[in-house]
Amino acid sequence: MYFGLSGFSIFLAYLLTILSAVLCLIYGILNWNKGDHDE
Amino acid sequence: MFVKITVTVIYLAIVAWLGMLGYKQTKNSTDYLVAGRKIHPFVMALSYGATFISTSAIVGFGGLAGVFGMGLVWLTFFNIFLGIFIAFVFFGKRTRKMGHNMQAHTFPEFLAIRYHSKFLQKFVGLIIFLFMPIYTAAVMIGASTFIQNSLGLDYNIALFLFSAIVASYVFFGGLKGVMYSDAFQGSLMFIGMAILLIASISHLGGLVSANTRLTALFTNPEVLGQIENSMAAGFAGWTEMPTFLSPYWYTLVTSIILGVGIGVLAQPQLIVRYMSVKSDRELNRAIPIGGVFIAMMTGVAFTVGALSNVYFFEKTGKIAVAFAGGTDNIIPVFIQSSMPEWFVTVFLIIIIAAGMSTLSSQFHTIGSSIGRDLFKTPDHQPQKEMFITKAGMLLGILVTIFLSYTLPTVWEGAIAISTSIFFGLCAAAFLPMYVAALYFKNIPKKAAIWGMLSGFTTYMFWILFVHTKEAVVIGLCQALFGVPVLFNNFLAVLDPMIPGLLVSILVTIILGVTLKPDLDEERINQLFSGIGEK
Repeated sequence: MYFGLSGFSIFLAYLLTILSAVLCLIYGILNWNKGDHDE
Repeated sequence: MFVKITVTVIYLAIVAWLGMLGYKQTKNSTDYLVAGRKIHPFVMALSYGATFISTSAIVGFGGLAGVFGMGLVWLTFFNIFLGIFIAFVFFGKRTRKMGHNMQAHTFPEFLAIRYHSKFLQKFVGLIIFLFMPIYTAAVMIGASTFIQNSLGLDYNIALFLFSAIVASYVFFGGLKGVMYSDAFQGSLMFIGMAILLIASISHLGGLVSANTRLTALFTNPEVLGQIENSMAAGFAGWTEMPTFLSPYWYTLVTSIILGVGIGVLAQPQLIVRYMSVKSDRELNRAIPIGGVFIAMMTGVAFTVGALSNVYFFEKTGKIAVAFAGGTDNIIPVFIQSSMPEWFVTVFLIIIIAAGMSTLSSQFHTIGSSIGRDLFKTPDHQPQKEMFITKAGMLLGILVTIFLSYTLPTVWEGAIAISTSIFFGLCAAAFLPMYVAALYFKNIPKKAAIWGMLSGFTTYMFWILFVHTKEAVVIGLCQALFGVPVLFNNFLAVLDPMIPGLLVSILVTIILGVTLKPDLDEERINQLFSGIGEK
């Protein structure tokens, strides 16, 4: 059991969802002032 | 009832005021179609999110999680990773720059100028005009079902009321007006779903406890009698994926997770938003806002949808779909029966916001597919173009209302099915051509066009003759060949997007490699100006 979930694939889906949201946050913070241009 | 109506009227007044603010700033077709290309990243991200997530996701797919279980969270992962991160970083930046270079205002126009083909603009515009109403109907059904449950109205009256609100809203504004009110509606949706998550989890005694009881439901003797048919089709519990390669697995993985998860990359009403910001910096800043927003919206809807089974079983002895009387009723009935009255009122607003913010962009896209792409006036008469656009919108609204009456009588779980049809079609017909437009300078025009036509044809063939859900309802296969579907094996439950997209990719690659480049090199270099340069 993973936090009460019987399926590892469901646990993995939640884990990847959280990691994807974190990836979006980190990418946004690291590139917050980049890409400023558009004569 | 009085409080609900008063709160709704106040909310609608705020939305109308924001719409009017944008309307006053709308001076030309660039303002109307791409919001003047100067939208703030916070507004753009929330507008993208609020357009992406509709009542279809909350009511339709949330209800589907009540039936299929938490496997739908894979769709949340795809929504964030593909629909936000990959979409913005690898599609958004190039689309924005190329769209600016070519002064494109719509997705069909973008493809037409990139491939120098008027045919593309008209064909893509026609697909949008003909098929997008299926998706708009899904959103309309979701909102009407919730209003029906919340206000105790007849479904038809709820549909009429909501249609009237949306129709009066979308006729003003253009994208500039829509994006400001979208951001307001998106903020409300975020707060509402956060409250729903906390309330549901605490109501069920904590997350792990709720999950454990949901897992235990599958082996409960009182439940087994209610899920016999589902188990025969591959259902393995609400906290477990369906049995590998079973009909349940094919539907969940190919139609719901992949069909919608990949289809989001080729949604015309979302692609146009990349062109509404002035630089890549805005897109970079929109990514974290969009990622967290999607996680909160669909992650909560799917989790609560699945966990509603625990609530319904412990209260009534029935699982969610049995007590609510259908997939699309699960979320409305759960909120109506488990939450305090004040939250039902709040959530009614959330649902109207989720519906309006998506529908306004959908009708906007349908209208511009007629006014800008199919019947653009050769002499550039803005007033005439606007008239045709609004006539197209009106026609789109009428078709949507008709479909919203009929689809719930055709399919159980009509919201999710209708949504996945449009998302899958966009992936099969548009995605390979769109990727090639952004990344392959020398792709021949014919490769792009025939790739699209082959994907579209394969998708339509599959829907008419192979995929049980649609083919049986349409009945053409039965009329021509005397059988409901051509193949009585796994192909009958394989989503049309899978063969459609594969054929489209193959044709695009084969023709792309074998044919000589047929587009003017200097012109293409101008379109790619500022792309891929450091």
